[in-house]
Amino acid sequence: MSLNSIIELQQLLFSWKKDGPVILDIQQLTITKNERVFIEGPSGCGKSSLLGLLGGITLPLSGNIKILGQSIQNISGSKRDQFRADHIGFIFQMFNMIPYLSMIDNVVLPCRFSKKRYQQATKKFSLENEAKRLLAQLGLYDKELLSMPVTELSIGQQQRVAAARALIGNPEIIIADEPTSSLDADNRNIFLDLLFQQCDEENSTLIFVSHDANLKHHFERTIHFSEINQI
Amino acid sequence: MNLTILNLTLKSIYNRKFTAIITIFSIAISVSLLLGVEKIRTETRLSFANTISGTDLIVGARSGSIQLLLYSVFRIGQVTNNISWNSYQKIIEHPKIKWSFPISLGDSHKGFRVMGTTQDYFEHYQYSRHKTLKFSKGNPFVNVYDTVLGSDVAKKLNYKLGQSIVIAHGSGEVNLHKHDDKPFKVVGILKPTGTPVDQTIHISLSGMEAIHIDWQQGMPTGLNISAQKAEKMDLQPKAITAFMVGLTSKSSIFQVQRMVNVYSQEPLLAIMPGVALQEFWSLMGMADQALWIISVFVVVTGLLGMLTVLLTSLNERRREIAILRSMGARPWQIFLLLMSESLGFVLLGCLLGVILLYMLLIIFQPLLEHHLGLYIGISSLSNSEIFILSLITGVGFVMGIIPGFRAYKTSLMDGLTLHI
Ligand SMILES: Nc1ncnc2c1ncn2[C@@H]1O[C@H](COP(=O)(O)OP(=O)(O)O)[C@@H](O)[C@H]1O
Ligand SMILES: [Mg+2]
Repeated sequence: MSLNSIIELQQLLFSWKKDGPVILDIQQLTITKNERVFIEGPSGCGKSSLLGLLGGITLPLSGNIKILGQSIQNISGSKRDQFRADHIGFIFQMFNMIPYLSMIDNVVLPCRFSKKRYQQATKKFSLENEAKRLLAQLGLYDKELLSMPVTELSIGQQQRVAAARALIGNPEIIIADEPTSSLDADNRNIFLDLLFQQCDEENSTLIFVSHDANLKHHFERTIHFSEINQI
Repeated sequence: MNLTILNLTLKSIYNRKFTAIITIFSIAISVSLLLGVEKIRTETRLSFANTISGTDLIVGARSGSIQLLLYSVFRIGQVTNNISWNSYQKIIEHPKIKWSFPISLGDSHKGFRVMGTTQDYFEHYQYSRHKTLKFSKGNPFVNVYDTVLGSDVAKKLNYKLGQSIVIAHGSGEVNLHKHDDKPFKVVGILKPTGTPVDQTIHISLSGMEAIHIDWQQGMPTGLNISAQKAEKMDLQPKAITAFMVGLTSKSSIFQVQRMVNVYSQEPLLAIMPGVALQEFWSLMGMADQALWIISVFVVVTGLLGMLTVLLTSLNERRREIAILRSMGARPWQIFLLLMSESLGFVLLGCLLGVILLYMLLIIFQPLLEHHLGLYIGISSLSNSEIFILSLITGVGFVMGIIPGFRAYKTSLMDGLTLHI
């Protein structure tokens, strides 16, 4: 294991049901600090399933998943949940918002589940101001937008709120599961630029998953899912 | 962190105000129905039990004990047989009998029953744990044509002392025969008791005798004896309807009761008012138990409605659950999220139900008192009511486990991807 590795998978086997079909069989995968990795593969090949494993939400049949030096399959469920809350920010394809919370409340929510992220987020500003700062960095500085119900935002705006939420409290790893797949080309490019910029500023490692191979030129490293998965 | 969940619950409920309000209202209405039924049940039982007190035995012609209770105490139903004056006199000679007063029924005035009795009645009749009758105005009757009114009679008919009233033969609003040749004078008005006494017009036994002196077998004979003349005649009654008895000691109740029940001159029946009330209540109890069971089902329906709402919302909330999980929410916190929602519904429903109950009580209390003579006190929640509320909350809590557990399982199975 290299010193800089942030994620390290070995001999990983995974299936959704105990005696169901194995959908992931990954010998080896290493992601190093500050990398921006693009994982590309067709729909249904198991990309989201892999991300669930990386986040410690699901467990593998066998194998070893080491995140930030921690073998997460060996720790208890609640420790894994805490680990995820402290170290990983997620962005999904769509419907990222908790519909009944305001934009700010959506953004600060991860800090409610993680003391570590709360402390990091409030180093310089109050929690709310940190949320506003991140939103502004992502192009949402309009005061009127802040008071709008999140369900009335455009999908492009919602995805940026989701990005702010993943970034708040500076988690080491940002996992993005097809975050641009519901966006048109213009919005997609804006979103990617802003996301990269923020990941650079916050020193976050980005794992970005999509079925859209056209995105790969934005990334320094591309992993073809079919090449790592033996299934 | 659990404050976070509570905060989420409140905002989520607020977000679905409309369904939430309907759900809470349906629980509230069912809760106030159940509590209302419970209240009326206990209050009627209480006012029933409070109608008579201190009387050890009621004696009447042999019939059913409930029938005797109903006509002697509640002035309900028809009297079929009388007791002869001689038997009455003979029985009360018994050394264990401390006091007694006779009751003679049959006539009425504008729908109110007229009861012939003696002055002993005002001294010995007790209700509601040894309270005796009190006069708000005037005194007991002295003369033949004197009458004492129950408080409701005076209030409803707006009668004052000195007023002259005419008694009609038989009961009911419309009477063919009126004893209009022998009017009575109001000499006393009783204080309210919350018992049938309030609806009774009391006259002396001799007054009762006097108005029937020129009658035979329930019909006027045409003799037309004037009031003054009748007053001077022998007004000793030949029969009475029933009489009430107080004993020197409770231990002799059965002895006296047996003596009456085996009395050889005529068939008589002695009942203990408490026992007969109990017997009557167990009959009435069927009806109010039915009402009670229906209300329980209404509450269950309300709670099931809540369950439906929560389970339906669960499907819409799978996405939300996955997002919360991705942020590190524990599965049990997801459980709590749904659980606290149902608990919130039930608690708010109970609270609103109690408020609704008191509002209804304030509105309907005067009506119930006026029309049914049922006085329902507005007091703080009784123990049994608090028990009912906790039981409802408990059932709601248990029901909340269902959507909570479903959400818990969903959160584990879905992971980050909703697999439909
Ligand atoms: N929550 C789940 N429960 C059971 N099976 C699932 C679940 N999520 C995904 N799957 C199955 O796992 C396989 C991989 O799906 P997924 O990881 O979502 O692929 P991708 O993200 O690459 O489109 C599919 O066959 C899918 O049906
Ligand atoms: Mg996917």
